Amino acid sequence: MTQAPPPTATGSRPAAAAATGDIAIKCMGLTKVFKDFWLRDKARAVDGIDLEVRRGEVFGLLGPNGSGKSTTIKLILGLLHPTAGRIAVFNKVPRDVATKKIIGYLPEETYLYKFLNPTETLEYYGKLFHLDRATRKKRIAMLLDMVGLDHAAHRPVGEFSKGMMRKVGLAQALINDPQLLILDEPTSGMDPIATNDVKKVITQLADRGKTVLLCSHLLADVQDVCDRVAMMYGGKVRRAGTMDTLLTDEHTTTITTPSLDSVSDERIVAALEALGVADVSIDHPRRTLEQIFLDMVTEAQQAGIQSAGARSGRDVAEFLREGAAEPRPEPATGDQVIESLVDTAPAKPAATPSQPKPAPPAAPAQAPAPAEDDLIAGLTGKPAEDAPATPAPAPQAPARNSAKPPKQPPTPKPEPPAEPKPDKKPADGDGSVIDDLLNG
Amino acid sequence: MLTRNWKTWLGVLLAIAFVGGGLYALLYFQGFATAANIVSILATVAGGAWTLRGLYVWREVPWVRRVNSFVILGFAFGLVYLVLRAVGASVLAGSTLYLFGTVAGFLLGVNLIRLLLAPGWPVFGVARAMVEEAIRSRIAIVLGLMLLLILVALPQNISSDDRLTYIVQRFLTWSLMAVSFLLSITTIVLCAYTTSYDLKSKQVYMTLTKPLGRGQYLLGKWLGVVLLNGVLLAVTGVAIAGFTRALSQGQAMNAEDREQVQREILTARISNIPTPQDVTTDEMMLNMLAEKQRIDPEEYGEPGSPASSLPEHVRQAVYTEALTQWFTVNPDESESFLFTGLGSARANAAETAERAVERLIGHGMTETQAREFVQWQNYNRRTPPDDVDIPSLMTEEEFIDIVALINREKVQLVISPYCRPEPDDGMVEFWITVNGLGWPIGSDGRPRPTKVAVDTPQELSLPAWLINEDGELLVTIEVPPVRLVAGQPVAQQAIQFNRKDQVPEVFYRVGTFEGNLVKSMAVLWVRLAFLAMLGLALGALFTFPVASLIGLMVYAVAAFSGYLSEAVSDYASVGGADTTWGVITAAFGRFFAALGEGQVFEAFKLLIRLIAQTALLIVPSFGEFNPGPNLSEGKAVPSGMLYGAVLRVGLLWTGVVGLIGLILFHRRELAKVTA
Repeated sequence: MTQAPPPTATGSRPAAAAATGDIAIKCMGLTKVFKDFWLRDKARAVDGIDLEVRRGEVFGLLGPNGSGKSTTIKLILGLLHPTAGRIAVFNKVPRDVATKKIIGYLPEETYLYKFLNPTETLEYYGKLFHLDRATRKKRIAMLLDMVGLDHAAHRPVGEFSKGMMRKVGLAQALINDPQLLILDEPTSGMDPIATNDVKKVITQLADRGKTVLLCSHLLADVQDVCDRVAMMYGGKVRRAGTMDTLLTDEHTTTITTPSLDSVSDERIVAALEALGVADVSIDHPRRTLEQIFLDMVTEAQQAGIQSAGARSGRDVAEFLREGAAEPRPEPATGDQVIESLVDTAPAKPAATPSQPKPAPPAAPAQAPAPAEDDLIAGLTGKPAEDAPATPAPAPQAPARNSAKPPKQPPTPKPEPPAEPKPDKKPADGDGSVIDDLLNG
Repeated sequence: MLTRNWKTWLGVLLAIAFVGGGLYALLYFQGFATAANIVSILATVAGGAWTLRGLYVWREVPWVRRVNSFVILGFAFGLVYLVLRAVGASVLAGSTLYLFGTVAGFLLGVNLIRLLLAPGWPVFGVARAMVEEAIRSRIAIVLGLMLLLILVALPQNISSDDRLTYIVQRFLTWSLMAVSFLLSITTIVLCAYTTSYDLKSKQVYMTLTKPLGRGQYLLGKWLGVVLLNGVLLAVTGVAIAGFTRALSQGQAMNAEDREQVQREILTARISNIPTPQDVTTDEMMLNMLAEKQRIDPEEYGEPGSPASSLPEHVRQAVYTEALTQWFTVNPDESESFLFTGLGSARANAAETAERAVERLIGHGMTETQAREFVQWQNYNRRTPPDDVDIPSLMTEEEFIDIVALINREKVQLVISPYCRPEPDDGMVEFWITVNGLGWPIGSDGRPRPTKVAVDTPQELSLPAWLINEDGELLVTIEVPPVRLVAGQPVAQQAIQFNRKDQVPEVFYRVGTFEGNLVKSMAVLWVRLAFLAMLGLALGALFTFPVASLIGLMVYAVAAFSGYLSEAVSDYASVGGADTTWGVITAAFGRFFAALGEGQVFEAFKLLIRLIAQTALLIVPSFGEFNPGPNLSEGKAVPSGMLYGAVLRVGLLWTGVVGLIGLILFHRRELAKVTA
């Protein structure tokens, strides 16, 4: 089982945050109690939470309806006054007007003036950010193109579907190229393609070192893009930590290979059982509906089929891509996965690089590993040439944690091994399992 | 792509214009007139077709869309105008043109505002959105249409059987009242709606999480409404001026009626009230008090005791009696009234007389004839000098125009003679001397007595050159002991000239009707600015129904404060308190006294008085800043009214309401419980 995280969300941080060391949002003992007309307590929406969002990270705030996520965000934005506790946004009070210049916010529903069209709407918000005419014009065109509403730029927003309004909402949140983007249920009402686009934007912004606070109960979305999350329930933070810390099931090991025939399956099961590993099962991973859906749309778009609604799948606006930080590592290929399996032992899903960990134990990992072909041959009993040269690449999901397909167990990254957890007791350690497999 | 193409279209259009124009000029000046005309026709057709094509193809481009709306509007109104002209409804057709002008003016004004608010400042952004909201909301559209319809329908529905003076006066009164009322209501409702709806529908979540203070938010909304009201007032002002001028050209009872419209309505006059010649009014009052103290020391105090020791109402009664004595002229006696500060009237008249002389000379008169003509007009003679043949020199319209020019500079002495018992024929007779010259002068060149009906204000035109170089006009009224009625002498009674506070007044022109209208609109604008801030502040604190209700109540109290004060005073009297605060204190004391005595109904009445009086204390009175009566009576809207409105209503009251609203809004949580 995964270790229980601390009850606050001020734990370890990812690489980007480590680089800057700055804190974008800090909440200490934050409490919000709503009162009725007679000043009696009506609801304790937020109950003494401590929260820390560092610059450059994508932070997810999760929880079921009524758990206090939106209230927390409204407190951070100064729309509500805290009953107790303190909030600092870039070291300023939430209602500091100057700080708001670098914040972009998309509320849980898109509250737009229905009498304005998308261009006028973005003009309006652009002016609120003191943007000059030329910048406004340029960014509005880019954003409308990005969210696929350039063809509806002069239609009143009141005529739009919820998803289209959401896109205008997203565009207004980005018009100032914010340092901190606060998104409350950003993909609500959006189709999977648009959802994918939103995730792409988040990833892009994060790559540029922007901070994103994402509030959602669509866990898959959060899982795909967040570095760190805090889970709220009843106004309190119940779980918090990095995605890998929270998601890694340390009691299960997954070995990913190209598709194997049934004989090979049986051989592997037999080999593992011979090693004393119980409850071995071999299965073909399932693709997600989202992935199939996205593939379908991509194919249709490539075939030139038109749709009346908002267009999707556009590139992120240029001004949001300018000056991007070092690109994140490409999703690992099958070769790399195998290399990591072979070269680094114990083969355990890696933690995020930012997690400070003691040096790994040396001996098993330093042992010379057999070549990849030998591995395949050992497993299948066939010459290496019969097997595919490289495993199929991971699906091109836009997720930041995209070394694995969406909604699949995390795929280990080619990163330094983590220290084995003291409470985990595998048969002979991960490295010995591989050795046994290789030896037949 | 779109931008590049409409620019190409515009470029081609300009090329057609330049090439066509150039070719036309070249051919025309080379003497090929026919070829030039053909080129001109071809270029016009090509340019027109290209223009129409572009307007259609690029109709989605914002500025082209605006041009299109103008073009379509122009075509629609033109069509209606032609149809109405064809069926003989020329007045309606004229109204259609004014209507088009009004709508086009409004659209131009709105675009001007958009241009003004283009810079990327947050306050401007909010103001611009406010303007868009206002012009696209149904309530504003309905009220705007009502305003237009009233302006168009009013001239059609004012009785044409009456004197032209009254028709024009009525139109001005009603149109200004309608504009003021409708815009006030619209402003309150719209402002209360916009902020309360922004809060209710959570649009503030998106707006106030941007680098925009709450004060800037309110200021932006206010600026948008104020600018829009400015455009609306400008447009309706132009429409009112146009309709008024059109009405003044309508059917008049007679020449005097038409001239009266120019002289007394389509002008901006100020009035002057007289001062006693050798003694001040305070001295008159003290003399009267001394006399009364000698007769009744119990009521008025011992002789020599100061007036300040008397109660206010006794002092006021003595003052009124002293004035009445001054304004009362007994038979075979005379009384003088000195009007001062009329230097500008004299100067204006001299300047206008010179202009009239120049125009007459321009029409072929000699200078002597021209000056004689002007002088005759000043003596109220309708006919020109004998040796001048007017019809051969100018048209009748030109003649009337010059006469109106001369007469508009005359000063008007307005008096309301009153006497009891009323004479059998209801008339009185007296002689008037102005700066030693008997007036009016009859056709024989000699002064004649003034015979007028009692209780009816009489207006006598005096040439401004009667005013002396010190700007003074000394009017002496002498009542003869007898007058002739049907050849028989009838004894006259004392005549009083201050009935219902209508003391003799002298009116003289200080400006134009248009200038007066501009000032009137400016005063209304300031009032609307206050109402806008009131509506916004209320909307930021309450829900729409509550905010609009309070706003409308405040407007009612402000607009009808005079009537309300009188009404509650009659409803529940609290004695002779002088100030509003004094009345409130007295009402408060009497309320508890009535409760103590078990007079519940009396206590209830006092409570109503207390509430109404408190409202009157808190709410600014619009009665002091109501330019309507001045405008319709041709009286200049005093600059003091405008400055007072700006300072007290525009700055002080708007500022106070805005500040209170902002403080409360600042403390308000914008989000509500969702957990």
